Amino acid sequence: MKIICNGTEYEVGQGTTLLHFLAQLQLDPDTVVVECDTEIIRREAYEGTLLAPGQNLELIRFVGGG
Amino acid sequence: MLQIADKTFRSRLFGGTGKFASAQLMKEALAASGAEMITVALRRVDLTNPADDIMANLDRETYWFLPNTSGARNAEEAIRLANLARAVGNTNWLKLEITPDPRTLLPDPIETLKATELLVKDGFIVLPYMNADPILALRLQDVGAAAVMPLGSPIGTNQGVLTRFQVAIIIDQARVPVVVDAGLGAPSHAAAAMEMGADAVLVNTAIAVSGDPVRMARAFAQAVEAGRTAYEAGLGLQDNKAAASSPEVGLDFLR
Repeated sequence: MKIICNGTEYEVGQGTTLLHFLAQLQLDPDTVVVECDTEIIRREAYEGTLLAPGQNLELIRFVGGG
Repeated sequence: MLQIADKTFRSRLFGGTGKFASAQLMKEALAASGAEMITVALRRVDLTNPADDIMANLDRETYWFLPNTSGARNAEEAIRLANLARAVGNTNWLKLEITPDPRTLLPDPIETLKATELLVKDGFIVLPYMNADPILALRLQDVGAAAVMPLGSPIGTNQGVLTRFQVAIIIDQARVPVVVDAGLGAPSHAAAAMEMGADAVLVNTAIAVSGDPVRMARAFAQAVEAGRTAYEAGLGLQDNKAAASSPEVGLDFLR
């Protein structure tokens, strides 16, 4: 199934959890916040959140700034 | 000691983390600055470079994080960023920054006031970045801002405290700490703000893009300390007429 993540289309397997998807992207789940269709997903829910076709994810994190 | 909301700080120099040539240089410069409060921004993860994670280079035990809402052009965007910051940073502290015009990066007073009020009601500790408008400072304070952050000059311009007259009024009237933010380009600018009675200053560009950010960070730390000490000591009054420092009597032998 296809999802959109940070503006790019990704092909992910059925049953992929958010935590698993972040691991595939080599991201530390503790330093990334996820918006799914503009709703923030709580860190504790990453493991129990199954990705669904057509979802739009935004992965955001802290960067240098003033 | 500087107190903002329920937190005290020994250092009155707040550090920015943007524009450093490398993460290592940022780490060393922040250490040299003695800053306890540091700002960070929020951006999309660069999925082609997943290991580029600023959190791997900053110790949460050492630094108090002040996420900013840079990039927001209105209250709605700022509130979205604030919620993201709270989720990822596990902090309700926020430097509210709403700059609709990328050319000047001047803060929108109406949207800033609106967002401050909403965010304070939602439990955020809000430090709004604002133009140096004394009336706006009072309005922001009234809706619950934990501090106000008037600009010295526009972000990244290194021009110093061009808003001196207004900042002095803000300091005189404020019941919350005043943090002069933006445009401080040299240690002397930071010292000048502190001599006026600013509670703290926030410096990023002037340190990050200097020839030697680590030494410049130390210079800013010294300037902030000097300026604060001078303010506490009490400056002499300025006068347009000269007044001799040496005795004016006892010169009869010359004439």
